Amino acid sequence: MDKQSLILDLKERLVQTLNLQDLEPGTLEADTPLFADDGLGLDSVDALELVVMVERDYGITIDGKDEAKTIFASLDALADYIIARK
Amino acid sequence: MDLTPTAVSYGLCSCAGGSAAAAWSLAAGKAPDAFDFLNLFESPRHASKKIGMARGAKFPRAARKISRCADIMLSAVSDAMAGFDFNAEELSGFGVFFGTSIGGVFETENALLENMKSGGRDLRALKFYECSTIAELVAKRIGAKGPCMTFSTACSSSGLAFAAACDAISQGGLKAALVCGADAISRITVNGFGSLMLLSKDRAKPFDKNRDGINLGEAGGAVLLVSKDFAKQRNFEILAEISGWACTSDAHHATAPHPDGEGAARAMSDAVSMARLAPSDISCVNSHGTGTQGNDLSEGRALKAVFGENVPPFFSVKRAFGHTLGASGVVNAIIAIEALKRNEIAPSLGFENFDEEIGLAPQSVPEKREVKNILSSSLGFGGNNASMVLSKNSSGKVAPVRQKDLFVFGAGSVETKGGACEAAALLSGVPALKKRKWAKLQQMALDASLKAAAGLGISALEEKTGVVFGTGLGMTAETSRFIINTLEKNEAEPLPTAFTNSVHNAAPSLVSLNCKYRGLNSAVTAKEISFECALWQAWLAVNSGALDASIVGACDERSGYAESYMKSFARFSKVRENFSDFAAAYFVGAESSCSNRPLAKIVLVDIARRMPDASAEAGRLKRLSENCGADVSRIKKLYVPCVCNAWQENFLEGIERNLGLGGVEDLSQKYGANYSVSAAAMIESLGEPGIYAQYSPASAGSCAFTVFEIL
Repeated sequence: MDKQSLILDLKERLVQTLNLQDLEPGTLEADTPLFADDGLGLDSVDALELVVMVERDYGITIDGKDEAKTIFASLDALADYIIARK
Repeated sequence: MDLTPTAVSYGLCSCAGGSAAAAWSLAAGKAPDAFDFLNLFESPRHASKKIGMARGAKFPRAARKISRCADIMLSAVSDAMAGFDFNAEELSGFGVFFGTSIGGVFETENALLENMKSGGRDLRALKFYECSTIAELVAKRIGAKGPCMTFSTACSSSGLAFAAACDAISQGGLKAALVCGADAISRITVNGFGSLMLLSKDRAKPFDKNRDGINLGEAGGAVLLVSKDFAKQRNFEILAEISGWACTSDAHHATAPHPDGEGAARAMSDAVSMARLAPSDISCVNSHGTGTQGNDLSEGRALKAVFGENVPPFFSVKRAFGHTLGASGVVNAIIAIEALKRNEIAPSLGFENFDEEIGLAPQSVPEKREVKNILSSSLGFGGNNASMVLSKNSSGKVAPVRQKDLFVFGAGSVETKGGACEAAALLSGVPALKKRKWAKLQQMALDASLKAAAGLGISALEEKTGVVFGTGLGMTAETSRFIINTLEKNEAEPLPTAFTNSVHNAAPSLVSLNCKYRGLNSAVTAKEISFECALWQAWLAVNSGALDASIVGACDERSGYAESYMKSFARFSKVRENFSDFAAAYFVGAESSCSNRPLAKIVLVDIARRMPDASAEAGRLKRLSENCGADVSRIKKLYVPCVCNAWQENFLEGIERNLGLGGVEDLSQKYGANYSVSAAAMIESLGEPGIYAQYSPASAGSCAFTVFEIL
């Protein structure tokens, strides 16, 4: 899977996992910061949900909270992380 | 007269065994480490985690009628009560205040697993999850006939129980109370904290730079509290005086503490000023110190905010006992009493490397030195904080306070058409994105609370406004979702959000977070009288001046599990087809807390064990009403929450006959049967001035009698 389609795939899973169905179109782009208040404004529990999603759907175990912060900076960063480990 | 609450005895069952002296040796680092690998159930994910498993519980579990948690609790209770006798009159004013995060859920999990294997559908084992059952067992065993209630606010549970007991003794007319706290290991706690990545890979290192999370532990602790007058009258040796206590809420985030420890600092300094002490009078601090990055940093900052440059020696016992969750408040209090008694400061075991960010080093070695006043804290999930000061000699006396009137300024409830409340109809003004993680019961409670506070000219400060909710069964849908998922997937793919939503105080926390009410934040559970217990707790807090105002409410849901569970008991035989969702909330406070004209005035809230027969009970209710100036003949209507079975029907008919009342109104006819439906009575009578009463005989033998005047 190339990076662009991985990002599309991740976007769909993120919306599903975090119950973000009512997100306005355009508010979640590849480079949108996921956790900053001027981005999507997700919190630490959302990050943990994403840890479970990445393990379940991509078979990659993320160990430790600090690591999670950089991995989930944006969809783009997450895609890079998954590609590097596949 | 001096009504200062004093500790005269205690019992503790922990990984150190059943003796409090052994517990001190362990805390002081003078006994070998007492941890085991997790071995209570098969755990593919967490078998390598180390746990402080309770040892030495005295009661055999052969009959398996009680949970491991109850077992540990009763063991501590029997130690605390050994050598103490109370006569019938004393027992009538004897309360039980229990704190637990999730009670006997381990046995419930075992039964659900059994069901899964056998295809069975027996849900009676949910009774172990029903936290109030343990407090009822304790009350029954010691013969206590006063108020019996359970506080479930995750890790601060028994801290809140302690504060409620102190309020009850210093101004609620109780002579004595047993403060209890217990939690046992379960799949939901291990996997829940695991899903939050809060479990240490090895051992907890509170306040250390390299701390990586908590160790879980089990404990049951019990402290016998009596008023100072009563201790003197009975010649009890006073071990410690509880000279100050305070509970606060951060209103910052659903799980994370306030980064600067704002709420924790407020709880600590309020407790110190209540004790009429200056921060410099505090000899040492028994901190919450869990060993997580978040807690220890925020607690360290709170210590600096309270004590400035002169932070007294502080320590955490979490390395020694593990984080005993709902028991940790009472465990900390017991260790504090030992420190006072021994004039010794315990070391903070597990600390090695100074953390620049915290900027404080805890006590590193045990140290003999005079301990006069010790501050002890327990800080729960989502910034629910309880602190108290234990003193050798308190400065000043606590005189009885004249009961302040409690007024109701606003009321709100949720629509429950056909028994179920539609999630889509709740919180219509709140964007879907904002409420995406809120479970239905939380939304119900918030919806009712916002309606109760809507349009009021509130002059009470946010930090002196509380949120106190009663709930019989708590977050059953989220709790069962987490447990079933854990069992079915064998610990894979855990559900962190469901775990954070599973705590009983998820609803009041959400209300606090949204309304920024930062005073006492409590979840009380006591079956059908949970609402009345919440009202009682809030009234005492307003009376003492700790709060100016509070949201008081109750909420319970008709989830699949809750409904099947209640249907499996004969005691609900008459309401089987009538279970419902229900939430109601009131904005209450002192007269000056709102500029609006009050809707109602609370005249009496009495919680006790009921008399065995209706005529004796009616006599008691008559006396209670006369004492508060509301002669029975003036009572316009008597409400009962629900008539659940033939026995209750008979009993209530007897009460009605003996009181000579015109009629009893069964609220469940209109609102459906639900542990929280007693919260509907005031809403039902609003707009028709007069004096009303409500009597709720709860299924476990407790009862509540409330009298209110609609203005």
